[in-house]
Amino acid sequence: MRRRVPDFVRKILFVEILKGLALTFRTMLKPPVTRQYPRERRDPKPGFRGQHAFVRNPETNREKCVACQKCATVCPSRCISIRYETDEHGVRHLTKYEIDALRCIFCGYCESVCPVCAIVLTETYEYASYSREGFVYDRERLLHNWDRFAAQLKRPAYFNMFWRPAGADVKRLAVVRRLQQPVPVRQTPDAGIAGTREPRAGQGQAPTQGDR
Amino acid sequence: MKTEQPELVAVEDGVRVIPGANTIITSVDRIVNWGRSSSLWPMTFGLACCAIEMMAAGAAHLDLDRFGIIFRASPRQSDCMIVAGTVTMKMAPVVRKVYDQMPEPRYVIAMGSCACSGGIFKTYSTVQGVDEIVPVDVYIPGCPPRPEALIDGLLKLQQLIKKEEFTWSRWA
Amino acid sequence: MEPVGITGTDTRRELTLNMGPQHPATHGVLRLTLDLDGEMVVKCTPHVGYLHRGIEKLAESRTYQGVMPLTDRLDYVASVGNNIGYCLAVERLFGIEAPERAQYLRTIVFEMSRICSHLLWLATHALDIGAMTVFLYCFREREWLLDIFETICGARLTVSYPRIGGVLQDMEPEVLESLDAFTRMFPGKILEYETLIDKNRIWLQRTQGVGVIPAKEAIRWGLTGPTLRGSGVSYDLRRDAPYDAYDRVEFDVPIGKNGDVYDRYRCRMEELRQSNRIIQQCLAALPAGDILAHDAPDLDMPLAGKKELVPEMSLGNASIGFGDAVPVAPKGEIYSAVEVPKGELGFYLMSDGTGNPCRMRVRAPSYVHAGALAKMCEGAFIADVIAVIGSIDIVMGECDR
Repeated sequence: MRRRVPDFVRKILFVEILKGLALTFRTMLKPPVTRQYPRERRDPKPGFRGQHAFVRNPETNREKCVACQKCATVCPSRCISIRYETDEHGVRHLTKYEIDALRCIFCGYCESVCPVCAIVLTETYEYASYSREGFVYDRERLLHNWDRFAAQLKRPAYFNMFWRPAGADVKRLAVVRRLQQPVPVRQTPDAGIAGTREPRAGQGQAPTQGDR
Repeated sequence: MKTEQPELVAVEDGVRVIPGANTIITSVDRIVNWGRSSSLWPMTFGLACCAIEMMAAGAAHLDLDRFGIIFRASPRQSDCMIVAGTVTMKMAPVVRKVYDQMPEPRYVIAMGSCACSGGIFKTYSTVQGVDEIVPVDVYIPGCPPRPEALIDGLLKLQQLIKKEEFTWSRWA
Repeated sequence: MEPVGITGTDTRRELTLNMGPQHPATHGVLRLTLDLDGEMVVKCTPHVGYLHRGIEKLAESRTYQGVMPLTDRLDYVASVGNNIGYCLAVERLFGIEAPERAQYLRTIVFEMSRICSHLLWLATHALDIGAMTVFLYCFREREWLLDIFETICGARLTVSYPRIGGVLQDMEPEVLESLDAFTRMFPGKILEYETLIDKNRIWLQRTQGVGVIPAKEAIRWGLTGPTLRGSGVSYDLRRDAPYDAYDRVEFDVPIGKNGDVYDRYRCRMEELRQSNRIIQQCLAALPAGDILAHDAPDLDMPLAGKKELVPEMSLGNASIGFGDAVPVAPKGEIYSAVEVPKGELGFYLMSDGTGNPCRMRVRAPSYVHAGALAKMCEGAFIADVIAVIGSIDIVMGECDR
């Protein structure tokens, strides 16, 4: 067995500090964990609660919202406001839908309760702005957010995990959500976007293949 | 003897090079803005949750030092204040005082819903947005924003600085 | 505050120094006024309230479900702990019990958040004392857990993963695998941190014998968590009043001896290992089954087909009233506490039968610990104050609420 080094020798030789330094130097030789952010982006995980959007219904090309007000009711920060009109058949028509994105706390309650999978929190997170005005999202803006998000999405179809959470009791979900299929999105491979490396100079203007 | 006028080559918008002479010609604005935007020293003004993400942005994975952004603890040495978290009525005078202590030119980033608008805390004790007490240049929504979103905001602030004119002169 | 200091006419020896609320080492917005004799602290007075956001009052106007995102913002470093503490209180009030799988999942995320919190504590504590490397290393490992949080619930810090009566969603097998890989990797990383600072003589001199609080005093001041255990009192709600799956896992409760900064540091380092152990056991014993109790309330709970909403509502108008809605919650009061990384976090809920809590009071460990700062800093040097603040692991969001 190795003889124990006397304490005073350890003290004089700075043994513990040298051990620490050895560790830092070993770490120095390992590959760095740093991501070169603006060039090298990390995809947010599917289901990340980012910018709000209305899912564009492929059939009607409009939002699916039926003005049931559930999202406005559960919203803990009261940032959703909805107006609607009722026609002679008792069907509600959405006239105004506004989300104050700066008030929102991104808890995901709205997408958890939406019975028709209309409102979602997309995975877009880069939307800092120079002024406070643009952050009240109305219907058109929410649809625009969806288009912007769909253009950058790298998966062929979008399915939000809050629509049908894994392991949830399906019987407690609204009918539309029980049957909800992933929403197909149009692919624009050259979008230059979250998760992809930005096109290098010279390559960026290449004509897109997928648009034909 | 008559020398030939050297031909200037534009390498970037507003930057020209004299070939063979190792000389770059540009405007003072560009140089000053370049210097300012690439050594942006923000002050650590962590108030609440967003401060944790601000620290994460400065730590190993997203290393803010890459952009010349180094956190300073003193307002006297910093150019930029990242208000990360809820500003309460009790804290508001402190925020203002710290802002006043910073040398010109100074910039403010409101990080997170609370700093931008008060967020969920529409209560008796919370300031409804830090722009009620200091002028804000960049708003970053999120609760809290991802560290990448903070960097995105900082890069947007750099772009803002690069567009400035005459901030170095007395007549600005 | 009247200005005092060393002036020509002031012959007092004491100097009053204001520290905070904007100070990089006060972990948020804690403000201390220190009465100094030379470099010695004669009296330390903590001031709180710089982050008072009115969460308790706000909770009275939100539904039981709507309060949960608010609890995220109490102790934002370990938000799952607050969520689970709140959910347990409501479950006990409503008489709901989460299914077994949900209980295990909650235990897993609870311990993940404890590791997150302790790593952040170690990072900032070491940074305050002067060890930059530990800060970078801790954040490196923390990112792994944050990624898992992001996968299971879509947010990194303010997660809202638990729900009243269960959890939001099941963990996919890949997530469990990733977590398993983490638990196998993590003990080696704890050793790394210990190599750096455990025996480092600067660290020892800054922490040993600093901020001592004896066991008796610690109990009298109402300390809980590692701050109490560092003084040698074995008290841990996970063991003494088990909730979720804690009665089905084995773990030790590490205690210190001297009650100084170093012992509290050792306690937390051991807790990292124990948390890792708990996660491993939970992963091994994870039963199959439901993740949400059948009688758990929906997110839009008080309304479920009972009352028409108030249709007209302008942006930011916080007046959706349930008014005379049918009673949706049992009347009564309850106090329920959990062991969060900082100590004992208690929720006192009072229900009057409507969908909103009539009163919610939070017993926050940070607030109690901030009070004990005065005791711990007496007779210490100014530099030690930083070490003491770091060692009690204070989070102002929870302290001021």
